[in-house]
Amino acid sequence: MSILDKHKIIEKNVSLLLVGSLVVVSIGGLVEIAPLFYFQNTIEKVEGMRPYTPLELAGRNIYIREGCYACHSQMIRPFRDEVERYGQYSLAAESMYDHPFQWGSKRTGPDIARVGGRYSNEWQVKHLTDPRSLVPESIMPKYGFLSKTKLDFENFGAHLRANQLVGVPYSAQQVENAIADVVAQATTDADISGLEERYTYDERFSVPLGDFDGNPEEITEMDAMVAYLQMLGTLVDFSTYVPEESR
Amino acid sequence: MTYEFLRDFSITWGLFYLFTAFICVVLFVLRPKAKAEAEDAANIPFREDG
Amino acid sequence: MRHLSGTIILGIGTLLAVLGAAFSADPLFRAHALILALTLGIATIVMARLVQVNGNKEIDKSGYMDEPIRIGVILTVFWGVIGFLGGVVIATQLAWPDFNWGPYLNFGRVRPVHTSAVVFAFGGTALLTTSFYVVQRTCRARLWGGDGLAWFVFWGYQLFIVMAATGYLLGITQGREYAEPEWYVDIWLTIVWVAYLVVFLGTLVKRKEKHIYVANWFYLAFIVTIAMLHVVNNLAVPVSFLGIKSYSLFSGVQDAMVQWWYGHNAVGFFLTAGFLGMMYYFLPKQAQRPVYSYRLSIIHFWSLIFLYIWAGPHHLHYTALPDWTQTLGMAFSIMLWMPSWGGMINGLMTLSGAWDKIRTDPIIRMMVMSLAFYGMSTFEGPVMAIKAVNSLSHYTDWTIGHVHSGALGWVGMITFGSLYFLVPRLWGRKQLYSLRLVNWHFWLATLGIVIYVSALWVAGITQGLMWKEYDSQGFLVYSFAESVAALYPYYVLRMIAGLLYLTGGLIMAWNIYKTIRGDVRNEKPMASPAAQPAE
Repeated sequence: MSILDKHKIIEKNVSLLLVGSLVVVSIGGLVEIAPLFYFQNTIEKVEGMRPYTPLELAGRNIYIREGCYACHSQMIRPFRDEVERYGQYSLAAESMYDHPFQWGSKRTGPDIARVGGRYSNEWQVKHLTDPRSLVPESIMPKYGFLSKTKLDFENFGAHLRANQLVGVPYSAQQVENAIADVVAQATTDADISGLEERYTYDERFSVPLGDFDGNPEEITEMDAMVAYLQMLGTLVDFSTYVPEESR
Repeated sequence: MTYEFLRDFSITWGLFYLFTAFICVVLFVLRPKAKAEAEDAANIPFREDG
Repeated sequence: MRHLSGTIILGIGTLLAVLGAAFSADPLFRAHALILALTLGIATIVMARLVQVNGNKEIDKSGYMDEPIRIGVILTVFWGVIGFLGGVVIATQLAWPDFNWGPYLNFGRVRPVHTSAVVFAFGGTALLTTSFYVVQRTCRARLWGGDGLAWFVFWGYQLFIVMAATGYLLGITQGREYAEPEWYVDIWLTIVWVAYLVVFLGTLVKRKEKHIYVANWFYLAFIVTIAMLHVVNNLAVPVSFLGIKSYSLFSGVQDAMVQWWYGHNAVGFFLTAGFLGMMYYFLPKQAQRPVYSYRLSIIHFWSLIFLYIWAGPHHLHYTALPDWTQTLGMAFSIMLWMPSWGGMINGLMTLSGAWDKIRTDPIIRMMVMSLAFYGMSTFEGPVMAIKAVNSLSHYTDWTIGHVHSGALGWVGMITFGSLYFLVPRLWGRKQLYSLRLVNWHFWLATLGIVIYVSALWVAGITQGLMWKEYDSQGFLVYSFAESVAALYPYYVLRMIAGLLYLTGGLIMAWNIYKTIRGDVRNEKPMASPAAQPAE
């Protein structure tokens, strides 16, 4: 056998090894991931789910930016103690518009999947500014700087459009009015008829409103953060939800 | 192709197929002829020139 | 004119980064682009000076390409110390929250700096460096693709690290654990990674050995699988081409599955398969005997890479992920115990007939301890993947303890052992500066790990039990805040354990620095020649 022939076999072995490993490591992922897009029962049928308002989305982006997911989960498991402590266990449907999901993996702090409406806006602002003034045992960092930072929402139309591209059903009106909707939601006594019209799903208008950070002068990152926290876990109407047998 | 069909298929034929494949790999690796090759390969780290 | 084209490319890169900053869509992107411009600008100046110095001097390209490996060894030590220091910082923040200095140094932003520094900077540089060393030696061939490509892979990867870490502190993150870098940093890593694959494959193709040594199989599986995981998990739509923000392609339950398919196999292929490649080369070399069973290593390889990829859903037990997926994840996680222990036994038995080396050679002792921790964490892992156990352990510090027994014990120790093996050979020194300091490093690291793992194991179980504690009337006994207060002593212990491990790392840095300088410490030899054989 000439050297060239030998070399061919060797090359073939490298490609065999490459293709072989690639095939072997692909199987598991394919079997576990592909059906999740295909099976209808992966995401439950529920009433009340709606995409985030632009202000809530801005708050969610701040939540992600600050790495809150490192210490707070947003996924209540179906155990007696968790349901009593945090509320109704979480459904897949509740995070269907979450790009990315924020279920978390660690509870250095408590789960906050249903923290919406549990505390007043004032409590949330005070707690974010100085957690230990309200919960002496807390080891959470202080986030007072959110109140001092003006919310940057000039290009929120583009944010909603990017969400549209990945499958969130924002309407053209919602994209067009993104900036106006931020202002309407974060200002006391604003005209909310447009916001109401655009974010009413299933005859329920469940959008937290008002001047969240106690500073009516400007719209800050604190406004967005609290607006997001105040809607967490409040959307689905559980009075009409029937769990499926097998899933 | 329902969920039930795929589940039944994977815990019968799927399982059988993967187990057979595993046995074949083990038999192939442990076939007597491979012993010399394996011993030779195991010494590759000691043959470097430099 | 060597380095001239490199200088020009770097200069153009700097210019593009400045333009990116000028036309940025948001202030964070501007800051990040300026950091990039600064980094590339410095690199351009360094490169330009090399052009003058080297002029037309020819360099020898017949032997192995060891220059990036030498720099890689130094950078691995550097990133290790940075990563351990980051861990001590965030451990301190958890014990005493006043050590948070917002916004840039709050826990939420520093934590990904720690995880990325140890996994991608320390671990990644170690893998890149050792894979370049091993693939050349076991193929008896110089790295393929000319020197330029290998240097591109090496420095391109360092640029990825700098951009990722500075991004986290600025608040640029995707919010996906262990995949935090935003879309443009991800694209850069993809380019670097493909180049890495090309260099590695090219070197395998031009090898002078008939057989591809098994260490390279593990390295190759690591490179290929990480490429696949990285691309799929980071699919996203950017809001603007000169802005930081992107929205992931998947959402909710599917996104969770994709992320933990990625996340678990970052452990499986980055921190396990890659480092097994290291083990299969450096352990036999240091022990001066071939691996115990080469055929077992082949079975180890195929079963490990096949089973690992299924295990992701055990991170999502009892969540809104469908039950069938959780059950699959649990079953495969338990099966994974077998190949893991197969590999551990194969490594340990390599020493059969030479067990005295554990007593006499602190480098071998380090490698053996790393295999012991590998065995321990790959047993603990399947146990925690059982749904009943997971219902208690999930969301608690037990998970953090488990990860660190693997990361500090297995990944850390096998890397330290390999570095101690490499340094004298790469710099042509007869021996290390001091074996006694290796011994000190070994014991400080081991003690650190043991304290860390046991403190967090107790902390995790305490948390899990307190959350589930009911009184006789059927009410929950503890508020969440009380469970936080209960963990204080364990968090302090954890910080002390981290300090011990960091001290070991600093001793290693000193030892390696002195070895490179060519110094030898005046000390009593480790094993006394009069030692009696065991009876």
